[in-house]
Amino acid sequence: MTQKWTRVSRRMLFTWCLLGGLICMFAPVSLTSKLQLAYTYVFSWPLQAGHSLSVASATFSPLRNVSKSTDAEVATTEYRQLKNRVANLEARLREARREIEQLSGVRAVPQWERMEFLLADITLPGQNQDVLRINRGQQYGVAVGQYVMGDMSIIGVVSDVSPKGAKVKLITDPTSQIAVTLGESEIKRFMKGEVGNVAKIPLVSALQPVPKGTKVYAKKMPGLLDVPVIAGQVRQCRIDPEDSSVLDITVEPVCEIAGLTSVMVILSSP
Amino acid sequence: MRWFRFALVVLVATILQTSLVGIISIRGIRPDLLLILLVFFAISIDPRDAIVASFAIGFAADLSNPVRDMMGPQIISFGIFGTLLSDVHSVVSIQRMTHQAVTIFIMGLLTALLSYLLTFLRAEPATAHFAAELLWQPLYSAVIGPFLFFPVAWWMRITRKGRHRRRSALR
Repeated sequence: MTQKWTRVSRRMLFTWCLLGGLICMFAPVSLTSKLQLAYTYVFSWPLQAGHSLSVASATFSPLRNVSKSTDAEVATTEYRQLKNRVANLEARLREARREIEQLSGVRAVPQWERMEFLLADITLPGQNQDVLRINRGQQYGVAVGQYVMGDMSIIGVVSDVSPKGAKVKLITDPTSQIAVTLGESEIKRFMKGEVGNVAKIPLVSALQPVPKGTKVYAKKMPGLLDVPVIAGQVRQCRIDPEDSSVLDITVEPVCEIAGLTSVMVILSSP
Repeated sequence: MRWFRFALVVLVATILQTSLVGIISIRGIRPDLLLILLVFFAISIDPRDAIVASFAIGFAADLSNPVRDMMGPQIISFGIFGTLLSDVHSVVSIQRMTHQAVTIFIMGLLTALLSYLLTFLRAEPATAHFAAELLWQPLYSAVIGPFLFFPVAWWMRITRKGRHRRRSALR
């Protein structure tokens, strides 16, 4: 065995390995991502434990200074969650009003109750924070296209799924694209992820003012999302330098994704 | 070469890289443990083994932290530059800690650059993290890398004498 090994020339060995790398590179993404999902599944326990420790250590030092800072300066996780919950309630209220108007006073069923949630732990946070891996998959009813929530806001969409795990493409991933509505307006557009942990909403007319801080909601998608749910807020809005008739809207997530240890998958509505 | 020990150390480094290394991150910049291992093995083991080790470490890097969700770019970049470094080490000594730190930094630059160039073949690379991965991550790895060489050398039972012997044998 050893003799066989040493008989292979260095050049040949290098060529074989390089060929292996090229095969991996040009193999279908569905195949290679299954390999990555298998890795996260097999080592889910140490990965989860390490990630939890990492998050705990990151949040420990700021919390020690809470007593020294004013309440307005420190936004805790609970505060952020409550803020997002209020935003979601606002959206739900608007949706309810619209339905009431449309159905001439017929009382709508509380939309959130119709949605089914599944709690999943993050097993592998993306180092560049564009993709997450979670420990729930097909066995729990997770499917590609389902929305994923963190801190009561939409953070991404399931992009790949295996029996015991799934990959979540965050709204900031450059290849991500989700339908959104802007604030209380009727503007419906697709929000595309951008590098730098932000997203962009293109093709919004410059005639419609969009103030900074405007809430961006994931659009209601029958079967996937029964009510609009907050996904981000407008960080910057300016005239597009390339086309002065449209706005260049930059959106930031309303959730501190790096600090999450678990998420909620919105399973398809019954 | 003790391949079982090698597999274990790469596995531990891969798991730590994707989980616990966040504890020592500075402004989101983490050291790249697999890059440190790449340099260590390229300058410490037999050149033939170094080829396999470099590609294997690249595979681990792609498995745990793929560039733009792709597998392959880091296998190729780690493999090519690990092999090159192994060859260069037979001519130039990389024994001092400062030399090792500089090597880690340069290797980090080169592997990140090649990985991103290779992603052009399949997808559009993300430019925002590029500066961090090209400059700051190799720099951080270079600072702590040489110190990690000692425990890894102990675990792999690689002595300084052995490394000198490898170089003289190559000459």
